[in-house]
This record gives sequence, C-alpha cells and structure tokens, in this order.
Amino acid sequence: MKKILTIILILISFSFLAFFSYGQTITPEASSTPKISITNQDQKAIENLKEKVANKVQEIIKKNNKAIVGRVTSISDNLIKIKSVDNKEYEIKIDSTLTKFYKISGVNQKEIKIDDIAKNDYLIVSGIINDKTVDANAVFIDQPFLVESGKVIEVNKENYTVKVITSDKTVYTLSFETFTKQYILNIKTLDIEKSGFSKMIVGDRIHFIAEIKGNEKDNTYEAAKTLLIPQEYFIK
Amino acid sequence: MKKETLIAIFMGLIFGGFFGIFLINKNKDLSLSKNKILAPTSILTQKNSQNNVVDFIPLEIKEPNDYFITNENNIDIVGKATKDSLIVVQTPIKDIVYKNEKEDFKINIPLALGENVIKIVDYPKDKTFDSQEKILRVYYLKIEL
Repeated sequence: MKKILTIILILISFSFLAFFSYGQTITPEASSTPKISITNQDQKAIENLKEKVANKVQEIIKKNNKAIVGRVTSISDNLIKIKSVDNKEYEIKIDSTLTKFYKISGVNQKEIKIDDIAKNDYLIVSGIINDKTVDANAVFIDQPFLVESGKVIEVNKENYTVKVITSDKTVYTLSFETFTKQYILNIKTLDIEKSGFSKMIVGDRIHFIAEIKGNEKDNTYEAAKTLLIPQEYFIK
Repeated sequence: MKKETLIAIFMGLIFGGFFGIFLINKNKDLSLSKNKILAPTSILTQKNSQNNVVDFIPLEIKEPNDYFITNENNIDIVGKATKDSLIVVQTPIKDIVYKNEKEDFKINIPLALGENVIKIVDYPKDKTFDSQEKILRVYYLKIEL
C-alpha cells in the first residue's frame, strides 16, 4: 500500500512540474555545412543601405560646414583676430602651407595673399572651429550687406530719404540713390513690379538691402534695393 | 494507514494543486491590469484632434542651418508657417513673394558668391497676428567641402 501511495505522490508531483515547464522551444538542428545565398533582392537591399549610409555621412559633413564671419581687429603672420556681428571675438589660426586667401568681388573669387588683408576688412572663414579659435582652410574678404524690413514712418520727398522702424524698434534712414532698385508688390496678383519713390507712403511695409561700408552715421544707409508692400494689403 | 486517510491526502494534493494554478493566473492578470498602457479609443482621439485645431503656426526654418557653407549657387529654404500667409524671402540678389498654401514650404533661391543674408518674413492672413521674421546667413564659396 505504501508503495502505491509513493507512486501516486510521485506521479502527481511530476504532473505539477509540467505546468511550470512553459517557454521551451525546439532548437533547430545545426547543419554541418552553412549555405549563404544572396539573391538579387538582397544585393539591391545592401546597395540601397550603402547608398543611404553614404548620403547620411555626406549630409552630416554638409551640416557641420559652418562659417565664422566678422571684421578684422588685428592681424599678424599666423593669426588674425576678428569680431563678429554679435560682438564675439575669434582667433583665426593661419597655416602658411594650407590656408588660402581669396577676395570676392561680384561674381568673381580671386586668390590673394595674407598681406592683402587689412584691419576692418569683413572676413568669411572656413575651417575647423574649436570654440573661439578656427584653424582656417580658406579666408575670404567680402562685402557685407544689411538686409532688413520694417514700417515706413517718415518720407522726405526733398532729399529722397525715408525713415523705417523695424520689429526690434531700430530706426534706419534710407537714402534713395540713382542706383537704388525699387520694386512694389502688386497686392492683387502678388507679382513684384518696378516702382518709384513717389509711391512710398507712411504706414507701408518696406523690405530693403543696403551695402554696409562701415562708416555709416545715425543708421543712415544708401538703399541698394527696396521692395514696398502697400498698407492696403494689410487692410483688405 | 487507513484507506480514507490516503484518499483525503490524494484529494488534498489535487485541490491544492488547482488552487495554486488559479492563484498564479490571477496574479498575472492583476499585474497586467496594473502595468499595461491602454491605447485611447478612436472616439477619444477624434475628440482631441478636433479640440487641438491651431490656426497660427510660428515661422520655423528647418533647412539650411545658420552660417551654412555651400559650393552650389542655389539653396532650398525648407520651413513651416501658417497656412495662407504671405512669405517674403529677401536676398541681396532676389526677392521672392510666396503665398503659403500649405503649412510646409520649400523655396529655392539663387545665391550670390560670398555672404547671403536671407531674411524671411511671414505675414499671416489673419491680420490680428503679428508678422514673424527669421534671418539666415548662407555662404556660397567656390571651395571643396
């Protein structure tokens, strides 16, 4: 009787063990000779992946291409100091064998020497940026432009000037010269058309571009190009 | 040992086993109901999307980055602005006026050699909103990148 009892107990115990044995899977048998076959589709997928990686790398390189710009404050044989528009100072390290110098005038880029760079020149620097220093690969002398927009607050028809207030409350005086290209927005067609000084009225919006020469006084600039948006556009 | 005792032990083991299994399953259900993140129903989602209708979208420029250098003479300005607003893109060589029919926009602009200060102004159709501005500096340089 004791034997029967022991057998029953063992059987019951084993039957409970079966409840806790979930999660087992059958392992596939390992083949003695592994077979790798690449189909045309696989090949295409690999090539696509390679292309995507290359494109991504190119994209990252492009995104890290950043210029440092500013006016020259001091210059020596292997170091140029510049001050940016936001008053940050940068040291431009020059490698006599690597760094190249250019001057941009219009659509031309002419190679120059470091001696051609003078104090107060506006420089564009391309190279490796380490916080406030740049190991320059290329240095360009360029002409900076002021690109702004605002509301016309005064029109002086005697001396051909207008006063403009921008969104940050800066007031500019624009003088209209013979070379100033003037355009106006046709508020019906939204086409840009040629315009004249007489069409300018207080309250209009004006977008303007002017060359920054560095010797301007009282925020007065000679307008190179203007685009007028009549105030009627904002009333309709 | 008596026959009755044996039957009692046997029955006790069987019931004990079933009770144990019941407890384990119940515990699993309890823990699932406490930790599982329930997805909102479709009705809820629709209601939320209807409530979150926004007319005004702040001007956003996704591409290019400020102070970006390129060796190509044109670039795409990619961004987002309020639908039906008037976008004015100013560059030293070209002005573009564009009616933003969708929220996302992509405008190709020509670049001058050297520095290109690009000013983008967004005038929303609803005149109660102020215009918004962004300034980008892009450099077209004839160099190997």
